[in-house]
Amino acid sequence: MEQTIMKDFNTDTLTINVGPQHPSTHGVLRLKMNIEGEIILESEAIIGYLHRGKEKLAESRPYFNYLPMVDRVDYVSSAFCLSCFCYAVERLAKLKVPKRAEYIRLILMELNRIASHLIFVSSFLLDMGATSILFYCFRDREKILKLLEEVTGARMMYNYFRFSGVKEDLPHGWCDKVKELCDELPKYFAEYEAIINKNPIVIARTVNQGIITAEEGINYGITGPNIRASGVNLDLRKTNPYSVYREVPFEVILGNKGDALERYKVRVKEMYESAEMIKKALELLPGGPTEHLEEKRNQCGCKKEDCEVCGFDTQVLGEKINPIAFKPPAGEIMADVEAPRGILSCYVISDGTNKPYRVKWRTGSFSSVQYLPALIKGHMFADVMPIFGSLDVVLPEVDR
Amino acid sequence: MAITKIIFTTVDFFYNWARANSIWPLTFATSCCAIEMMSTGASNFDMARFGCEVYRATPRQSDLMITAGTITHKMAPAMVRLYEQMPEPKYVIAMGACTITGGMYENDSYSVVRGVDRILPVDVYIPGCPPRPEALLDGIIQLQKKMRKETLLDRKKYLEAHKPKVMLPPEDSDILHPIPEMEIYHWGVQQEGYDLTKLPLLREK
Amino acid sequence: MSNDDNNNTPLTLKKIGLFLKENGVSVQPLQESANVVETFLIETKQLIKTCELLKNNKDMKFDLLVSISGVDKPDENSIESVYHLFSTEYHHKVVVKAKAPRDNPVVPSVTNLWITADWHERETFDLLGIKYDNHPNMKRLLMPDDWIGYPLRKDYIENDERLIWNKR
Repeated sequence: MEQTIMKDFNTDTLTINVGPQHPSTHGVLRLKMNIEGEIILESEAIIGYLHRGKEKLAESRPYFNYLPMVDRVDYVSSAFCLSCFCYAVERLAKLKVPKRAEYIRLILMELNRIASHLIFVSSFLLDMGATSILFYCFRDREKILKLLEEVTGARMMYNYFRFSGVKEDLPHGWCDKVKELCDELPKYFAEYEAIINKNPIVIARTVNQGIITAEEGINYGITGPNIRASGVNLDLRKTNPYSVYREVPFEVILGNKGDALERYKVRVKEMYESAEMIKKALELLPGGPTEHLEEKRNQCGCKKEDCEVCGFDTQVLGEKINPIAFKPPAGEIMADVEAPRGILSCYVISDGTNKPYRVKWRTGSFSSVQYLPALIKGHMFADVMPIFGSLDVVLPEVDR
Repeated sequence: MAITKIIFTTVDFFYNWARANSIWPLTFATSCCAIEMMSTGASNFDMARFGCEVYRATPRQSDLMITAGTITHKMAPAMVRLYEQMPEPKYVIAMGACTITGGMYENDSYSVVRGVDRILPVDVYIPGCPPRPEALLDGIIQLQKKMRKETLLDRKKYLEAHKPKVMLPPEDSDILHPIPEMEIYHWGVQQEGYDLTKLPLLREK
Repeated sequence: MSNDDNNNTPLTLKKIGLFLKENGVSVQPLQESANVVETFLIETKQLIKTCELLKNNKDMKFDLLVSISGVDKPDENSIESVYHLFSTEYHHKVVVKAKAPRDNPVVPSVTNLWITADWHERETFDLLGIKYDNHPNMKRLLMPDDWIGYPLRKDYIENDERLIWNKR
C-alpha cells in the first residue's frame, strides 16, 4: 500500500540554496542541497564569505600589533584565542609567566567559556523557534560581560593578555563580585534546564538527531564538547595540561549518546563546572585579591624573588617587553588550547625578526562545518537547523 | 501650489511618524557586531523601546539593513542582492569600523571591502569595533530623527546625491557586483520595467 | 640565540623517529623550539607510508589530524606541507613535514586516512597553491572560484584588475 503511494507521488530532486544570509546559519554559511521531497539527498557547504586573511596580515605586523587581530578570530570566546597566541609566543621566546597572571588568565577564560556557552544555548533554541530563552541567557551574559569589562575595558574584544602576563592587575573588589556571581550562576542554569530539558518539542526535535559516533567524529577532526558528548575523553585541560589547569581540580564532562540533545547537555554541565572552577581558582590565586595584596606589599616591601607578597609569582607581568624591538628567536611552535568549540591551535613560525614568518589557526568549528553535510544526509530538511545549531559553530572562526 | 504643499506636509508627517516608530531591521549579520546586535535586541538593552524589535529574516519585509560585520569580496554580491530585494523606502546603517572603512583590515587585507558605502548608500555610521549596544541604539535614534524630517521627494534626491563613486570593473565577474547593467538599480532609483527575473544571476560554477 | 642552541645539541631521533626509521622511512629530525614535540622532515614519496604507519600502529595511534598548514619558503625554492598529529589515546603529538618544489608543488593527499584532511588540503591549495594528488575535490575553498593568485605566498601582489575600485 505504502509503496504504491510512494510510486505515485515520486518527486523530482530539487536543488535549493540556504545562505549565505540566513537567520540560522550563525553568520555566513552557504549550503547547497539536493532534496527529494523533504529528505536531503546530498549537500555541500560553501564557506569563505568572511575570509579576512588574518594569516596573511600577521606577516606584515609586529607581534604586539597582531594581538588585537587575534581577538577577532573567534569573537565569542576571544580570551582563548589571545591566550593561545600568547602561549605560542611565550614558548617561542622562552618567557616566564608569573603564577598570578596565569590564574587571572584562567579565571577570565572560564568566565568567557560560560559566556560563550550561553550564546550557544540561546542560539540553539532560537534555531528551533524558541525566542524566550534568548532573553534569559543574555540577561546572565550581561552580568559576566560587566565583570569582564571592569577588568579589560571591553565587552567582547579583550586584548588584555600580554606576552609573559596580563596588562594590569585586577580592580579592587573584583574577586568578591566574581565569587558572588559564581554562587548565583548555578541557580540561573537550573532555570534554563527547567525550561528546556523536559520540553516535548525540544526533545522531539533533538533526540537521536545528528548522531556523531566516536570513531567517525575523530576521523572528521571533531573536538571539544561535540566529541565529548560521544564519550571520548579528549579535554586538553586534563590530558595535556597547559597553564595552571593542573592545579585547579575539575571534572571532564562526558556524554554517551552523541546526539544533538546530548551535546547541549554536555555544554550546560560544563557551565556548572566552570563556575566551580572559578571559585576554586579565586581561592588559589597567589596574593589574593588586589586590595589585600597592595596593603600587604606596602607593609612588606622586601622585593625578594621568593617572597609570598612581593615575589615573582604575585606579579602580573613577568618581563616588560619593548613592543617594537621584541624579536623571538627563530623556530616554530604549535600551541593548543581547549576552547569552547574544540581544540584551538596556533602554529607560529618565527625567523628571528620582529614579525612572524607564518601564523596558522586551527579551529574547532572548521571541522564541524566540514562534517555537517555528512551529518544531515538522509535527514528531513527541518532537522538541519537543530543539528547545525547543536554543533555550536562560529563562522568567522571557520573562515578566519 | 500652496494647498498641495500643505497636503504633502501633513501626509509626510503621519507617514514619517508611522515609519520611524516601526522600523523592521533585516537580520543581516556577518561577524563580531552581530553579537552586539543580538544583545541590543535582548534583555538589558531592549531595542523594542524604540519600536525596532521585529527582526525580519527576509529582506522583502524589512526596511532597515544593519550591516553588522566585515564584508568581503565574496559576500558583497549577496549583500547587494539583499539590498535590492528590500522594498522602498529603505535605509542602511553601517555598524562598526569594518563597514565604515574596512577598519583594521583597511591597509593590507586582500579580501575585505573597504567600507560598504562603496556599494550601498549609507544613512548612519556607527563607529566602534564593535560598537557598544548603546551606540547602536543611538544610531537608530539618529536614523529615526532623519526619517521624521524627510519628505518623499527628498529621499530620491538624497539617494542620487549620495551615489557612491564606484569605478566599475572592466568585465562582469563574481568577485564584484555591481556589474554594469545593474548599476542604475543599486541606489534605489527604480526605472520602469524593473524586473528582478531579467537581471543577470550570479554565476554558478 | 636559538641557532647556537641548535648547534650545541645535536639532533637525534627519539621514540617516534626511531620507530619510523625501523620501518624503512628515511627521517630527518628537525628542531622545534621548546623541544617538546618531535618534528621531522620526510621524503614526499613516503608521506602516505609514514602516515599509515603513524595512524595504524598500536603504539602510535595518531588518530586525530589537528591541522595541515602550508609554509612558503622562497629562499629554498620550496613549499612545505606540515602535518600536526595527535593521539586521543596516548595524548602525544608529532609534526611531519613534506617538501615540494615551488614551481609545481604536488604532495600526495591523505584524505583516505583522515577525512578531515579534505578541507585542510583544499584550504592549503587555495591559499598557497599546493596541489594534492588523489584529492576527491581539489578546488578553492575560501576565496571565490575566479580569484587570481595564491594569497599566502610571500611574493603575492594583489594585482587583480577587477579590484581597482577598492583603491582609495
